[in-house]
Amino acid sequence: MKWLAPAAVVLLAASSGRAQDAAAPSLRQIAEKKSAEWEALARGLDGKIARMLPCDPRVNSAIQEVSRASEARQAALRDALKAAADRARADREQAQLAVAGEEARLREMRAERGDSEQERSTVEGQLADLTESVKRRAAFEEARRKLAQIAALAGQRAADSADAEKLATALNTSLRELLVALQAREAALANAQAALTSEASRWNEYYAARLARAGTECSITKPAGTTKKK
Amino acid sequence: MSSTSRARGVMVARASAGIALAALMLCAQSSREAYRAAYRVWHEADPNLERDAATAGAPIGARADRMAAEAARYHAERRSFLDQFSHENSLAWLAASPPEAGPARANVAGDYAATETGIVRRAIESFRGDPDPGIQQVRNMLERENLALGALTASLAVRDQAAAEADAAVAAVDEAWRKASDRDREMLALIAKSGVSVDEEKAAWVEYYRTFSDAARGATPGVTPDGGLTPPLRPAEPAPRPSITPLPLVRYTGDWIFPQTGGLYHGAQPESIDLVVREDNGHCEGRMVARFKLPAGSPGDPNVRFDFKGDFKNTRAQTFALETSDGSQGTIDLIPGPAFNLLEVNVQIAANPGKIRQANAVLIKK
Repeated sequence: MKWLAPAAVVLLAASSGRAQDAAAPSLRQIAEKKSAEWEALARGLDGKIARMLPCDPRVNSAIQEVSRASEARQAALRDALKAAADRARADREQAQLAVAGEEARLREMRAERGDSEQERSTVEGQLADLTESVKRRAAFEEARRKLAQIAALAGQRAADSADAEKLATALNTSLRELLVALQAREAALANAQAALTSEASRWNEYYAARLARAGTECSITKPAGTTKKK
Repeated sequence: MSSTSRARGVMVARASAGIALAALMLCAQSSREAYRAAYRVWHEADPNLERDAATAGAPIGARADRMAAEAARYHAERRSFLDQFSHENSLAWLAASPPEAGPARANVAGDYAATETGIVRRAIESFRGDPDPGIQQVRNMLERENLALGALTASLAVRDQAAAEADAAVAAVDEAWRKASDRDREMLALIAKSGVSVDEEKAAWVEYYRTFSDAARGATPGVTPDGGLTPPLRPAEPAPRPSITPLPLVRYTGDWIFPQTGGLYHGAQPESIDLVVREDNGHCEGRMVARFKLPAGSPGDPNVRFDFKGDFKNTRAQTFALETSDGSQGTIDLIPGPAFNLLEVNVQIAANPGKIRQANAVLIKK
């Protein structure tokens, strides 16, 4: 029982790791938090700068703050999507391996059924022989009864093996369906990643345009000659 | 579990899965061959046992005893195979939770872009026709912003579509995952049931051969089909004196060896074990001479030789003090096996470094 001690340590460490994982926000939660932060800033931007003069330096700061929040949101979404895509790829590869092994699995189940059928048949042969012997020497009747019980067990095992072979076929079908679904998910996530990259560029362009407008609004409201010399 | 650590876990599992799959087929094959071989040996040892029951007389009891030993070996191999098969054939990764939906869709951003687009377009419209050059500059900037918002809106729509497809794929994966996982669990349950069947069959065969052997030796009076009692085939032996141990002393005493093939052991692998156990008036004396297979290059001593003695007690497992040829002390447990010609020995020696200190093996009666 000495092995229990290190095993317990491993289990404790594993459960402690799980507890930490459970306490840590998921990447999806982080992305949602960043999105909420950006949304709050973005929705308030127009109202905030409406109360400022065109050349108030806080105008640019406010736009840049929203732009940074947007970038943080995009980065968090990127991380979450990457993790989902990594998981999708890993799942798909596991399923591919399982599907690749389906013939071998089926072969094992067929072998199992063949073996159990052979054993059942052999026991029934033994039982037939002993039944004949009991007719001449009844002392073996109790042994015959026990052998009949074994034959029943062997019959049950043969039936279970046949069920297992059918189940292996059904499992293979399920694994192939799962593989198709996982491939579709992986492709969809790859598309989502590409779309997010494109979207990030569009946000940057938008905030650049927003800043440019603010700069223009400032420049046209300054009296002539007040522009800083470069 | 966070997404990253889950993904890492899945990837580690994936890395080992390829190796496991290849190993599975190889191991399953070799282990299956081992139990098939044990099965052949068992059934080829005496294929006519049951047929000869009526005619062969008392010696057929000894034949049944031999068959019992072979049956025990087969069931041990079969059990080992099933344990290995169950372990290696498990699609353990299916036990993990199916993947969750990805990050939230782009609805909020889309709404925001639509609102801003409306504001910008209204401003553009209100500045239309204003002759002020400054206002026209602002209007141009608004046009640029409008274009950026248009591109952004299109981009958001593309990502939203991709995210919707990913979410739909998650739903499909979830359903397929649960179905495959359920079937895998059913499969493992059937394999586990096979393991239980092996144990039941093993016990049933032990009981069968014991009953058969007793019948052959005349211990069980039979009933003829016409209801009469069949006489024993040989005169009844003198009643044995009451045993000190809960099982007959013969389950402990005699000459025992470690089988050359298919022997069961735990820890150091025996190359040979010879055990002699004698009883005299409730007192036990014995000697064990063994040689173990040590790893290549090991400087250890593979040989163990010791004598042991003590009184038999009213317990199933008998423990005696031993002393090795070089004076080390220890104990040996003698534990009757599942068949009456099998004996498990468990040896503990407070030996010097480089010497065998523990051994566990199932011996067969010579």
